[in-house]
Amino acid sequence: MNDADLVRDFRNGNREAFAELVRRYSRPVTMTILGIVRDNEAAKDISQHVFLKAFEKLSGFMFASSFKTWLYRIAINAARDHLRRRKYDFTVELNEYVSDPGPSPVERLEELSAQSLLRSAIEELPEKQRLTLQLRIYDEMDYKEIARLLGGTEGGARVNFFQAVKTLRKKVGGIDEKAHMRKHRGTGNS
Amino acid sequence: MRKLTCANIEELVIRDLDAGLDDRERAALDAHVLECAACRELRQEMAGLIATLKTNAPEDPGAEYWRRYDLSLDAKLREKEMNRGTWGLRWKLAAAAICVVLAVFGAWEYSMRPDQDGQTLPSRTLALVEDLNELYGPVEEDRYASVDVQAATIPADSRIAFLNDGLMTWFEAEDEADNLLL
Repeated sequence: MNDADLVRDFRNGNREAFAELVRRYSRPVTMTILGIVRDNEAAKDISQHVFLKAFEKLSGFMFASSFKTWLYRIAINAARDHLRRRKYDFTVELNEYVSDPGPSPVERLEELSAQSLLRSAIEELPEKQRLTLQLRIYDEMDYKEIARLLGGTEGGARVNFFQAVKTLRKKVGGIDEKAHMRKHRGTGNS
Repeated sequence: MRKLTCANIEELVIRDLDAGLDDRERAALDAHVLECAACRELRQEMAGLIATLKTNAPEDPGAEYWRRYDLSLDAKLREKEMNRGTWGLRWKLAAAAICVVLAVFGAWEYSMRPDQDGQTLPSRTLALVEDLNELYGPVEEDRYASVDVQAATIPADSRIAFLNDGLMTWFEAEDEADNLLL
């Protein structure tokens, strides 16, 4: 039975149909949210909130998109909202940290592993680029699906992905673009 | 295909690592990186970055996490469903009450609406009762309805005067009768 049939069944009063939709999507949706928020408990809460919202709003679902796209859109928006709130909390924590003399910035930097460096570089990306990168790499979605979820065109989603990878390479790849081009001019390849 | 330059190689490398290139593009890229050490380095870096990104994917939180997830989501869904059911019943009761109020109000409004002669239902009913009274006489309860209670009630202070007047009238009548006889 496909998603649309299950949605219709649920609207006709079959609760088991919704349970089946939960079985199909709870894990992938939670993992997508986890990829965005990087916090197991927050991901669980957000994901459950998403399914509760879906349960409540499914009667008004117009089939303008697939159920999966609709559900992921709710999930990504909820994760975005969480990040916005957390960003505010982080600013407050950072202000407290600055006023509290702890380890020096150099010591702090040394503590960071390559993974966490990459993670913080990803967090610094513009929101659309970051989400595109995560949906493409972690969820292996195609650009068409990403465009449907985040809005915009398939080409736009591809550009966002490319831009995100280029930015990350500059930040964590240790390659200076200008030095790279100087090197090229030296070898005559351009 | 446009000529490969170091300026546009980056995009091709990303496309190669992302979704793959067709044979012609791949051959051109391979040929370019063979000649250009910097682009070869760039390709390796990009490959390393994409691989790191993939390993940076969130780890599955484990069976216990999913067990807790399923249990609490199920409980929350049941609670939601119950609330929805309760609210459904409340809405139904409220709707029924509103229907009753509207029906009563509608009936009253209809009864008070004047007909072509400008009469409302109560006035029409009274007129009908009066017509029936004329034809068949008043019904038992209406028989004394025409008695003017106010007029029939004698104020307490004037009760003696009333009696006196009555007696006087009676004696006068008696006297008149006697006079006539005499």
